Amino acid sequence: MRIGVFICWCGSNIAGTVDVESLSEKAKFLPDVYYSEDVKYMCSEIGQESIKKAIKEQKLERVVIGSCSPRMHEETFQEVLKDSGLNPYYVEIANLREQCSWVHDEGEETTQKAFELVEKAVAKIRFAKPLTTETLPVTKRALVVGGGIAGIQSALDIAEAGYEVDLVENTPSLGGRMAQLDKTFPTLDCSACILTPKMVEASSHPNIRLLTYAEIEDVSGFVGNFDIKIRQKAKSIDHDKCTGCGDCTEKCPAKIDNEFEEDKEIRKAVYTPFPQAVPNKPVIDRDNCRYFQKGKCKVCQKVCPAEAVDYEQEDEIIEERYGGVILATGFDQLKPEGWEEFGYGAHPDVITSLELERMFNSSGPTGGKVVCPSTGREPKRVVFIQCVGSRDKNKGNAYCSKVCCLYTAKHTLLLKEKLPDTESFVFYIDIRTAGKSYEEFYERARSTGAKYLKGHVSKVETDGKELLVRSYDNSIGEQIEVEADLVVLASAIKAKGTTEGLAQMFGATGDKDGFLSEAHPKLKPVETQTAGVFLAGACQGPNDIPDTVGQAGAAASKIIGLFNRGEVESLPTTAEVDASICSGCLKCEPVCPVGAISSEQIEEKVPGGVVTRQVAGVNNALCRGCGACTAACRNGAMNLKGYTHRELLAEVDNL
Amino acid sequence: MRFSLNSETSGTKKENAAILDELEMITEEKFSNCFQCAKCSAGCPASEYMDLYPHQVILMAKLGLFERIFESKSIWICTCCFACGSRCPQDLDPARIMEGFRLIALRKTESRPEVYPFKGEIPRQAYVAHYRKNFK
Ligand code: SF4
Ligand code: SF4
Ligand code: SF4
Ligand code: SF4
Repeated sequence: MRIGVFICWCGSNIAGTVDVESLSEKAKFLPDVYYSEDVKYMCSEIGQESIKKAIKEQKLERVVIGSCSPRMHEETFQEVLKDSGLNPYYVEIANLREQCSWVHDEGEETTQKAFELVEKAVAKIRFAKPLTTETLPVTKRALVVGGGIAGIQSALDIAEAGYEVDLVENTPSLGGRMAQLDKTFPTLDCSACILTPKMVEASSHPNIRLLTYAEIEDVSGFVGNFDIKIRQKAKSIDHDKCTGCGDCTEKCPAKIDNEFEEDKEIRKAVYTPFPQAVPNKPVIDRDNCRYFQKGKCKVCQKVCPAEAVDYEQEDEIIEERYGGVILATGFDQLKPEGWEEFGYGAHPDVITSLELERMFNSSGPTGGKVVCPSTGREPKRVVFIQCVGSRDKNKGNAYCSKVCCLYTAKHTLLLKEKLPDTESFVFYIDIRTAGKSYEEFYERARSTGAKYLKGHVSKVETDGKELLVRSYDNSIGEQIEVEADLVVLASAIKAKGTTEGLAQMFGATGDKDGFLSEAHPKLKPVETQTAGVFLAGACQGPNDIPDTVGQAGAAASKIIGLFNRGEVESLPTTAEVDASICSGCLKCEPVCPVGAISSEQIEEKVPGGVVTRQVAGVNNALCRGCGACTAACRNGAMNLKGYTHRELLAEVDNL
Repeated sequence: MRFSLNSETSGTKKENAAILDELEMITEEKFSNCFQCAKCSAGCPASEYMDLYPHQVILMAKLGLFERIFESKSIWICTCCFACGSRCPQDLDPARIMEGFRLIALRKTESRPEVYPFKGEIPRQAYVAHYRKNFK
């Protein structure tokens, strides 16, 4: 076996602390090493050429590279081997940068550690076996989970590129959070006016199948071919017959808090969430329906002129195969109930920004009037409190919710328009206006009369006639108290509680705050750790509409790219059972997170005949190469290709 | 110290609104643009003699706390050097705002405060202001 060792300087990144030249000299004496060399930038074209040249001239069979982390350039070097006619998995990388030169000072010991890293890489590659991948066809149908602006936009983009999309939304209508907004910053266009056309377009696009009132039930498979079960919840209304007349809703006696109106209004058990809903046909919310709960009522059925009410309808499971998935499940707003300092829940005139948003809306609970909920009268002084539960490690979230500075500015402007004599005060820690035209928008809010006061609020006193907001003004350097009629909390954007379980099904991971993690914070912003699963919108972190739409387009383009390619390569580093050692205990089966292991029967010759015996079998198409099973197997029968026990022990022996 | 904002100090109150109108007319400055960066105060050479810094005067005016401004020494101590206005990132001129307050105070002589030492005479800032008006 002829092994070549190549040591990269990485400019001064490695060469600054490791003596690369002596390292390269010393490497020549390692077993099976026939050649070694040091190069300034191994990843550069010149560096790659020098590897190719050495492979050819020295007839090298395997290659060890001492460079940066394999995360950065493993693929680059695999390509080099492939071009040179070697199996691409015959390259092993010793991470001399992240694991050595960056974390140690210059000196002999550092160079010695680098040598040992190279030594163990050589030891491992001696036991390497050639690995192969298969190409598999991609199912050119996409799944988008979430029917807010992120989901709508990505579905439209994919559909426009000519591919079929299923858009799954768990509420009865498309629209998401954006549908709840009255106006949008920084242009103040009416939210519904720009959203409704997109909702209608998505619902009528020939390439989009809309599944509202539906949930993801189960996910299996991998990039290119995800097999997904979707539960279409029973709507109890036959939408083919229903004309959307609304008679049932009008007559339904059940009254429930209306979530679309932030519980500030009631809705019926048979309902469409809001006037512009798409589809604009009702569903029966069985948890709150009198007939389903108490067995008596059926009023809706009696009044329905189209005979569309169908109490017998059942949930339906739709099974479909998809090539790629976009998660666009959105966010929730924190309700600071029980937080003594702001008085939310203790006094009706302390409301969240989303509750105010609904008040501004002409189809909202107050018909577009801004009033104090306690009296129904117009407020004279409104205090806005920013960073409620954001940038708050004590009770809320450490992160910034990103949109509150701007929507609060928007609220002061809308308020000025509706109630010119009403004063707005805004308490803030910092004003963050990172976005095109955002600073100008903040300026407009100030010049329209909103009074910005730098300082967080310590307490909203709720026992007097008026609310008393206590704070400290950093400019004047004194405590300040403001008598207010209405207090509006710019309450934090938080991850949806339901996202985690959903993400788990897709193998996507959450971050410490419950938002879904992108694969790389800069270079893979819409990818997840699972190939073929992408993210769009506020499920990935607090986001405004322009950025959400941008992400949706980016995620869609990834899917379109995947479909255009038409095939994916299977993973080479999957688990493999050595049936001759496997005792068939199947301890590995439950540890596999993707259910890739099942029992298999094999026939074995034994003295005096043939017996059938149970062993573990791995489905290569499902296995993600996590290695959990290899650790679970007591006999060492389970091995991960590319990371076999033999290879790993060879490394350990050399350390 | 603590100050209070209520229906008395409210900018919607008639008297307060009238004072702000008059100030904006005299100074041709839009107070609301000020975002309290305090750069004006940071560079003001007279600040060590002031009881309210220029940025505080502006904020108090926005909040309708006029009494405290008329009572303060600062508006009489400002030397009209215009250092503040030459640097303000919002392109405001705090010196003109100081001047506005002086003018209102002078128009209502009864409100001329104790701190102004030359009772009955024209204060020197008024001269400066006069020249500047002619130059503009
Ligand atoms: S049956 Fe249920 S949905 Fe229909 S009217 Fe009665 S409570 Fe409402
Ligand atoms: S390596 Fe083993 S445990 Fe991990 S996915 Fe593959 S079969 Fe399952
Ligand atoms: S420099 Fe301008 S913006 Fe800054 S505090 Fe002074 S007046 Fe306001
Ligand atoms: S003009 Fe007045 S307030 Fe402005 S810097 Fe000069 S002394 Fe200070």
